[in-house]
Amino acid sequence: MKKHLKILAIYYRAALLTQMEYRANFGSSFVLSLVWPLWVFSLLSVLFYHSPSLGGWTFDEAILVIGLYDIFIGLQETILAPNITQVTEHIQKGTLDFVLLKPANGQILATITACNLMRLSDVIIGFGLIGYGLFRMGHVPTLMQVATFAVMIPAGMVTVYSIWLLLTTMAFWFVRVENFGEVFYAFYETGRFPISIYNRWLRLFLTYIVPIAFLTTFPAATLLGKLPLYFVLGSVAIAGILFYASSRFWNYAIRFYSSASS
Amino acid sequence: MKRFAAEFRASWNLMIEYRIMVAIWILTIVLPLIMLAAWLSIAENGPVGAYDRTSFISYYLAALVVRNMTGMWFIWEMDSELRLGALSFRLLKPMDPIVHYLAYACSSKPLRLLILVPLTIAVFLVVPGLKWALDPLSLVLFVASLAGALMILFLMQYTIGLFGFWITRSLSVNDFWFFTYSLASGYLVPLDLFPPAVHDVLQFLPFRYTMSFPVEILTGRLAWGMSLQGIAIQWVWVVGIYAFNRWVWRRGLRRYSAVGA
Repeated sequence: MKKHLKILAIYYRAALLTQMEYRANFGSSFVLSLVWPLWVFSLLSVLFYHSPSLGGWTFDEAILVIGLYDIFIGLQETILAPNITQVTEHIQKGTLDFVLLKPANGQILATITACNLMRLSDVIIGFGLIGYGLFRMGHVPTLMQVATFAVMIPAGMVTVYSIWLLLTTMAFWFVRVENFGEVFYAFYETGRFPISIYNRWLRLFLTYIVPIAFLTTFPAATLLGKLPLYFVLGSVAIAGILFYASSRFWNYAIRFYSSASS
Repeated sequence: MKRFAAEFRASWNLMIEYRIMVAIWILTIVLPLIMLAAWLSIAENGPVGAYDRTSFISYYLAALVVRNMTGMWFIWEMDSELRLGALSFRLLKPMDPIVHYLAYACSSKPLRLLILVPLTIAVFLVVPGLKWALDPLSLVLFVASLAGALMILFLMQYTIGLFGFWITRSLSVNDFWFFTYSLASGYLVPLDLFPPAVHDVLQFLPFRYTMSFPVEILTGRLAWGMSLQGIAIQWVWVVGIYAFNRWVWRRGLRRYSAVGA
């Protein structure tokens, strides 16, 4: 465990050093990251122009959901997406050998070592939006609410990682899996708004099958005290189950990997 | 025209195995669907403006058709051709590259139509009470308005693509463009649901004529006199943007220095 943390630290430091050379990019990436929250903001304003509440959420409360969406998109583009492109490329070209041969956990090396720090701008903006929403409401979350929130974000991150791992692992059989990823992005989009605006079937689907609700709606709701605190257990359980299942699947699939030379 | 036909056929063959299309398909469907879900949830307590639940569905279904029949996604191709120098080969051909890109952009349309028709019929069967204006006159006007919308969108994207002569991030400009288009055209929000002041401003921008206008014809919200007038305005925009585009093209070409050119 300690060894792997050290390895990850080395990889991330290297990435940081390379990307520090393009500091100007961070500025422009920050501006671009501001555009999309602004966009959802306008859409929400029009919706709330016609109705004081949307699926039981006020405008200020919905801002928190936008913030969470940005946090997850940002985290995903920072530490997941770069790996996905990398690992599918490895599988397609048969160069995964070089990763698997290294004397460390292959799953860690193959799936979380690359990162794109530019997109941390989305995460910063996401937290900013949450602060702004809370400020507009004049709501100060209790310590317990903050604590559950602080657990739900990493749990959500593990959930997203596991779903991505499941999808990426399919590459061992289907080689071209980029389209699966696009399908997942489509579900992601639904996380921009509180889940209660969707009809019953979609809501069940987004809670239990593709648990997007646990990424944006539920953490926002717990922070506002709109949900019982035990939901945090649900999000940890889902993360645990999915992580276990996807890791098993990866280790199983690796046996089917035929490299370029063998 | 013959050149257009040849380029069209070549692009069509390429496009069938084109991966990005799947992604685009999904995104064009998902965003309006989410907005539709939100409106339906609000409309449960009575109609919103001039829209009840079924007219929202009619609207967004029409918007989906218009988006797919007029949408432009060739700027990614253009961007890489400009940066990697493939444009040099296009310049050697005895034909303006604009013809190639127009053909390329249109080549996906028949396949999209092929998917849209059964999809539309299915929605009409599932949702009772949907209303579209399907009389011959409205249909002719609708197809004509699609042509105008397609030309405006094509010229807008081609012009943004040409900015690639000066800047390396014309794709980011395209992001900003989509930001404006998706809000101001009626693609995600029916324009008459904006506050009146915003709505009035949007009438004077070209964006309305790329989406809301054809949708208004198809959903029967526009008298035919107004439709004809709208089509005329569409072509005024086409000519205007084309003139600007040619100006940008001539300036840009002077700056163009690709690998080996």
